[in-house]
Amino acid sequence: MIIEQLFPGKTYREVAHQILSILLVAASAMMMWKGLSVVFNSESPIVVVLSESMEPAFSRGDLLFLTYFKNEPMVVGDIVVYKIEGKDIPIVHRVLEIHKDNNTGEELILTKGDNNDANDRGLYNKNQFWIKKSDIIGKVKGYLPYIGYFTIVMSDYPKLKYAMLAILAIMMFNEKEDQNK
Amino acid sequence: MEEKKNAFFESVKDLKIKKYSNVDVQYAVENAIGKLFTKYYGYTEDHKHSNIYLALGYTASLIAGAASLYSYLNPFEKCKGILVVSVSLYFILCGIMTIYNKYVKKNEIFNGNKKDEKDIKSVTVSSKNEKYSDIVEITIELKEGTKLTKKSLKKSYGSWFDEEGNFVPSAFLKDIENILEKKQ
Repeated sequence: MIIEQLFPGKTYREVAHQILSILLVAASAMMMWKGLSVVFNSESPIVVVLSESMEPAFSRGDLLFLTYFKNEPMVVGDIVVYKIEGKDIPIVHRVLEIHKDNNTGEELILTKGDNNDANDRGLYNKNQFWIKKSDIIGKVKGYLPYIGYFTIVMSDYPKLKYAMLAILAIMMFNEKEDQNK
Repeated sequence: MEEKKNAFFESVKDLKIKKYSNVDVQYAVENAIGKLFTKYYGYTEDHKHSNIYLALGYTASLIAGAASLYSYLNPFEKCKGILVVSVSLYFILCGIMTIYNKYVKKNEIFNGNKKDEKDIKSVTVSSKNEKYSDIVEITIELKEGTKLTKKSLKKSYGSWFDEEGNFVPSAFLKDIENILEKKQ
């Protein structure tokens, strides 16, 4: 069977242990990420700056740490990360205006990148003039410069991503051979 | 006895180590002990530690997988409750696994029992090896009914492997037999 080819000379029990080791590494990484998510109340508590629209505060490649605690009010001047409904890309810009809709009680927010000439209405969907609190992923609380550049390179050159994954897989298989305890 | 000896020798004929890799040696000794006590001494291996580890581990992985899938398919707000529960459960299970390995399994590498006439004999073999040292300490605990005996052997693993790293079962068998026969 495939198992006998992939894991030569090992009993089913030993194979089960090896597969479990790999699963536990992946599971631990995922659970730590989700744990961070829940603790900071943000669906993506760590994001990478993708554009230069927040220079000189943030440059492309900076790593940002977000939180989105319910009891913290949104204040003009906060730097937030939000997503436009229907689009997947997170945008890091500053809150310019906050208004309250008298009928629904919802907060309507206008954002703008520090380094941009115009506010974000050009980025919003057609006929959308404001973003809502539900569009926001979190407020920027801290950052690490340059660290995120790695992920930008990975997404710009997808072949590099596959090469890295292949190398990691080979390394893991060799390590598992040694590390059978 | 002769055919059992051959059965043991046969089962370890491909056992080879990378010299100087202590992890490899530990694993090879564990393998050899298992084969020795099952094929030569006729014990049935008790996989209790392995079973508990696998059960806990796969359960934890399943929880992690299910939670990840759920959070992929649903918006964050809806997932929060489930995520809190899954993440906590996952790390609790991992904690239990670690505690179990450290305090219950400790250095045991083989657990087995067999029915000898009227009694049930059980054996527990533990192995200890200091980092960067070639001395392996093998402790064998035999339990016959209520009688408990403990024998240990401290030797360099160099005496059981040849120049190329091949396992020499005759040397290993001799050492284990000697220690088991020795009256304390």
